[in-house]
Formats: sequence, structure tokens, C-alpha cells
Amino acid sequence: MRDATEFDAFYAGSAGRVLGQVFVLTGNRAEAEDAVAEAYTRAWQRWPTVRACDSPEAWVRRVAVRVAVSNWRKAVNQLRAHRRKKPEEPNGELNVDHLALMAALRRIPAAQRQVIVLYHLIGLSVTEISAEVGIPAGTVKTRLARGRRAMADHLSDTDSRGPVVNNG
Amino acid sequence: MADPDARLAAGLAAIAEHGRRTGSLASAADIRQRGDRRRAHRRTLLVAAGTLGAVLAVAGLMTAAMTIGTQRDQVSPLPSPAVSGPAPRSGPPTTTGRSTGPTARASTAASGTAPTSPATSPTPSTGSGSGIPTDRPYQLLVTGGNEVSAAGGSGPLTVGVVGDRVQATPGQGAGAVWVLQPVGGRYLIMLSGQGTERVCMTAVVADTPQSQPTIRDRACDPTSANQLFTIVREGTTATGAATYSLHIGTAFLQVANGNLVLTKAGAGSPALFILADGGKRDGAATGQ
Repeated sequence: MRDATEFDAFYAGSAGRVLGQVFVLTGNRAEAEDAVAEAYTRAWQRWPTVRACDSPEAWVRRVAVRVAVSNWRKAVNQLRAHRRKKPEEPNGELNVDHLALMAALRRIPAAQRQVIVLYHLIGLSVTEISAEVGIPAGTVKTRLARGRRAMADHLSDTDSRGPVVNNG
Repeated sequence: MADPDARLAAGLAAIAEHGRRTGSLASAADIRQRGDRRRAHRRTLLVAAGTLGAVLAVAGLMTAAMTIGTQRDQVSPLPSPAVSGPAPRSGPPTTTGRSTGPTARASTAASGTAPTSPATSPTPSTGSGSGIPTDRPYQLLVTGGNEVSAAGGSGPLTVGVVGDRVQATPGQGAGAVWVLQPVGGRYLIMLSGQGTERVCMTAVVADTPQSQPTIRDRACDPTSANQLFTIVREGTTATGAATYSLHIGTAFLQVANGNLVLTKAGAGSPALFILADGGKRDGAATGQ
């Protein structure tokens, strides 16, 4: 019972945040919801272990990203095969810059998108990203640089007002 | 102009907030129930897998037991101890094919009596090496094949040793006595009565490629493929004695010019041997 109470509190305090982060990664709300639900389900199945982690939220986020990427790959394959599924059209609550940013994010590789989200949205350091993703710090920096450059290129192609992101 | 990184972070945060606000999450209780159901399902699968594994294991054991039982059924019982003098056959030969292992024992040839009848009714056996009575020495008599006919067909040839050559000569009672030493379903054919040194029938490759390997006596080596013979039951003589052929791989023993030679499969037919009682087991030859 104590476990359930703890888990419920953890879920209430972190699930929304993780959902938003995964949404940025996937650009698809339904996929983000599924991935987050799956990640928290797995967390509950291993709750004694997850609770003992340095950051249970990081554990859940890592699993959710993995699930989302996996689902996203499946979706891409299905899209290529059947040409049925279209990217979710964002609603009107996001401004033009945000929509362009979402479009640019979708066009870069998932690995680059992941480190960009972890670095710029969640605020992890290169070292922390290295530990969370399981890649060398140098690779994190490379992916960050390439991802930002690619996004800037995509944004300059689509936005005559200039890129939202540049290499600074 | 704002810092590009800050603008990027702000843009991402806005998108994330949008996703958080517009997305819907299951309740924590639903998530926990889903996890609990999955755990229960996994437990069920594990139990089912364990049960299936146990059933398969039991089935495997039963199959193995049945296989062993079948093999035992197919192997004829060992012949009874030596019986002097001919004994009437209890029935006609029942050989239905080539099989391994002597199932009928000829009466003693060492005493000069021709092996005219087996001590027991011969029964075909299967299973490599199964049922070979190795607790006694034998005389090897060649009872069939071209060489016997060439010798006049007056009776079996006796396998003996001249120098180091294993030969088959007319007549009985003068041949060597051999002991079968089972090695993994095959047999070393060991010369009995040679003191402490164990000497075995060995296929020795001739100097010229055209010549057949001859059978000679060499120091026994259970690891040498040239000494490990497969003994195949061939049938029964008119007098009821079981006959066998001796093989190394796909080649078989024949008699050529009085010598035992190893012939490739397809070149003629194998010599037929009778395992005749060779008297008491020689301790030196068997290491006892």
C-alpha cells in the first residue's frame, strides 16, 4: 500500500512533464501518451528498483523515449509502406515559430532530436546526457552541433524571417 | 536579439507545455492495474512454460525409455554357454536382414568338431555392437565367399596368423583364437594367448595403391580406426550357425589368396565368418 501511495505521488508529480518532453520528441500526442503510459507501467512493475534510482523521473523518461522512438520507427515504416498515416496537425495554440520549430525537429534524426531535447528542454549537461543516453560525451556534442545546424537549415528554408535557431 | 539557445529552449518548452496540456494521461491507479495485470500474465506464462517444459521432459524420458526398450527387444538374448555336440535347431533361420551381433553360437571348433549347429536358435539383432558375447574367445571360420569355393568347398576356412599376416586356411582346429573387445559399438579383434602384448587385427595399407589393405597383427590401439571392426549379422548357415561379416567403415573383409584383405564396398561380397567357441578366455590377451 505504501508503494502504491509513493508511486501515485511520483506519477502525479512527473507524468505531465514527461509527457510534454516526449511530445516534443515525437511531435505526436497519441504516441507520446502511449509511450508515457508504457514507461510508467514498467516503472510500477519494477517500482522497488526504480524508486531506488537517483532519478526515477529520468528512468521513466529514458524508457518513454525508447518506447516512443521504437513506436515512431514502426510508424515511419508503416507510413512508407502504406502512405496512410500523416503527422499530427498541430492545433492553433502554437504560434508560427513553434510550428516551424516542430517541423524542423521532425526533420532531423531521432538521435539528434533526443540530445537537443535533453539539453535545451530538460537542461541536462553533456555529461548527464552521456550517462542517460549511454553514449560518449563527444558523441553528445557532435549530435547537438549537427542537430542544431540541421534545424537551422530547415528553419531558414521555411521561414523567411530567419532561423529560430542558429549555430551561434 | 535573444540568445539562440535561449530561444530554442523557450520554443521547446512551449511545445512541451502544449503537449502536456493537450495530452491526456491515465490515472495512476489505471497504470498500476495495467502493471499488475501484466505481472500476473507473465506469472501465468511462466507457470505454463514450466508445465510445458515438465511435460516435454517427461515425454522425452518416456520416449527414451521406449527406445531403449525397443532396442532391448530387438537384441537377441546371448547364447547359452558352450554346448558340446550338435544341437537340434528349434526353428528355421529367421534372419531378415543384416544386423549386428552374434546371436547364435557355433559349437566348439577347437575340439575339432565342425560348428554344425548353434546352441540356441539364431535371432536377428540390431544395434551396433549390441549382444556381442565378449566373455569368451572365438575361432574365426570363413564359411562363405569366393575363396571358400576356390578351396574346394569342402568346409570352412580357419583364420590364423602366419608371421604377421592374418590368413584363412582350409581345415579347422589349427586357427588362432580371438577375443572381441568392444569399443563404442565396434570391436577390437584381439589375438588370444600372446603373453602380455596385446595384438589385434589391423588393416594395413599396402605399399602400392593398387593393392588392397591386408589384415595383419599389430599392437592393439583402441583409438586406431584401422583396428575397429563392425560386426554385422548376415544370416545363418545350413547347419544353423550364425554368420557375420566384418567391416571397417564401408569396406569389408574378404579372403584373397589365403589372406584376409579389406575390400571397398561394391567390389564383391564380404566373407562370411562364424564365431566358433575358442575355449577358455585367455587372461593375458584380455588384460585379466
